[in-house]
Amino acid sequence: MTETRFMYKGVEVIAQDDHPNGTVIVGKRKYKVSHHHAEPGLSMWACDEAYFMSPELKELAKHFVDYGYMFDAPGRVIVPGGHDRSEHDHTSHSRKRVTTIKAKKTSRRKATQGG
Amino acid sequence: MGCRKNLTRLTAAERLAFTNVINQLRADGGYDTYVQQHQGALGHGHGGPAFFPWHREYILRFERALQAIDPSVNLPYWDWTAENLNPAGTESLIWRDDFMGGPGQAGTGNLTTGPFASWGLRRSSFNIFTFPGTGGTIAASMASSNYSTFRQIESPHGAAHVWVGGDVGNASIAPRDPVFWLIHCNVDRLWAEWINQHQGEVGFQAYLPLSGGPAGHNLNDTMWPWNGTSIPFGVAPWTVTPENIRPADLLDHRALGCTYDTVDPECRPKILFKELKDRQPKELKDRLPKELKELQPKELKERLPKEFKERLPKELKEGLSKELKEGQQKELLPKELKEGGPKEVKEIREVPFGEPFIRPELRPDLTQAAFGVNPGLSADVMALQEELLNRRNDILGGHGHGS
Repeated sequence: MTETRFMYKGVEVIAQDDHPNGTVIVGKRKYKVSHHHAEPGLSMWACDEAYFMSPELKELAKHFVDYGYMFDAPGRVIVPGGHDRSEHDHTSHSRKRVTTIKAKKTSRRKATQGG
Repeated sequence: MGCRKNLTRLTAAERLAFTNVINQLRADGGYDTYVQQHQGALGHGHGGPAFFPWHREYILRFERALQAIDPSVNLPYWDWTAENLNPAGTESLIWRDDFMGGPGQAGTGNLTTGPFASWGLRRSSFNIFTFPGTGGTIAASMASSNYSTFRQIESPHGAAHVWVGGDVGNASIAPRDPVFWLIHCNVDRLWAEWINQHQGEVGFQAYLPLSGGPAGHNLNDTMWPWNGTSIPFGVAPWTVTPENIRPADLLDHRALGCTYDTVDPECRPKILFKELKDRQPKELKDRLPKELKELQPKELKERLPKEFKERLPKELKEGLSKELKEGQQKELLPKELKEGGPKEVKEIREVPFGEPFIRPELRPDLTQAAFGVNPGLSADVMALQEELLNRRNDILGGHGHGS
């Protein structure tokens, strides 16, 4: 496993690459990521929680910093899975698990805040 | 030429037509193929340069499928960087029962309202009076004339997906929720705006790379699934005959038969002055002088002298009906006029007819900057400015003054 630490927007980000899986840590928040080879010559880091893929794990990690307030917004519903199913099961709409993030008492940045 | 406009400009009839035709396409069995197609393009149309052209072709084909059922329908776009409320700020124009339905139910995320309530969709239980934002990031990308910088908009676009959450928040199934098309119509509009903004600059490239990128991502590469390749999987029946659709074929949105209300003049709405008054956003209404809020254009001309008179300080009004000596008039002038010399007073008195009606400091700021970041208003504001200018010229012309 390789680990990269860097500062972005005043926040320390840790990106752990344990190919083909990985973890991005922003503060106390951990994001599970995975590496996909959907097509020859094109590989992407993706995360079930995010709607963003990048060839660079670092870029995906920055996305978590930029929009972390959305990922943890109260009442958020996540329908996970499917980033690498395109080669195997492209006809079903997986609904294995639905996660709802409940409102926390801790203050959060408003959802309307621009990035 | 189809006009893709901000969803806030849709009439109730247009909202109904749009949701009806989507439901019809789904009932006909033509909707799910688009979901599968998007799933197959997770690597091909995402995370790389072809994100913009791939989705341009993709939403264009979806729009044509809708138009095959109802030719009057065009995709609207959702500008998620701004609030999408009615002028009174009391009602969402997107999350409503006659359009996209509401947020998901708290806890389950089930969508139970609106025209797609029976689809089994899920969304986050967001506040309908808020919005994703991300305007700052998008503006920074738009300002660069480098495509590699511009295409970083894929990141805030993803945030909009995440904000809605549920199905549209998962890239592998996102188009199941029709909000997907509104998000991507906006993405496409941004590309059109960006090209329109920078195309006159020396060395500008509307798309990169020209070569050397992954297959399907170079300017003249053909793109899956329309090219008929079986990677990542076969496409039939979506493309019966392979077509060579390349990013190079998709750089000019107008050549594809689309226009946007923030880019193309013919797509901008023609608004009557009266409608404009009704459609003014609340903050603009509040800033207008009372006279402008209440006046009809026709009345403006007739009532101008009287209004002018009524705006004068009481003392001066009375002075007008009396034969005051010059010294007495000066005593009654406001302090700032008293302090000005005769020359300044004369200049004020000789301002052309119509000008003093609204003192400069009271005139509403009709520039876009006055409204903050709300690009959706820009067409209205431009139309308002033009209309006010025309009215002013009419009034001045009627009194023998050229503009």
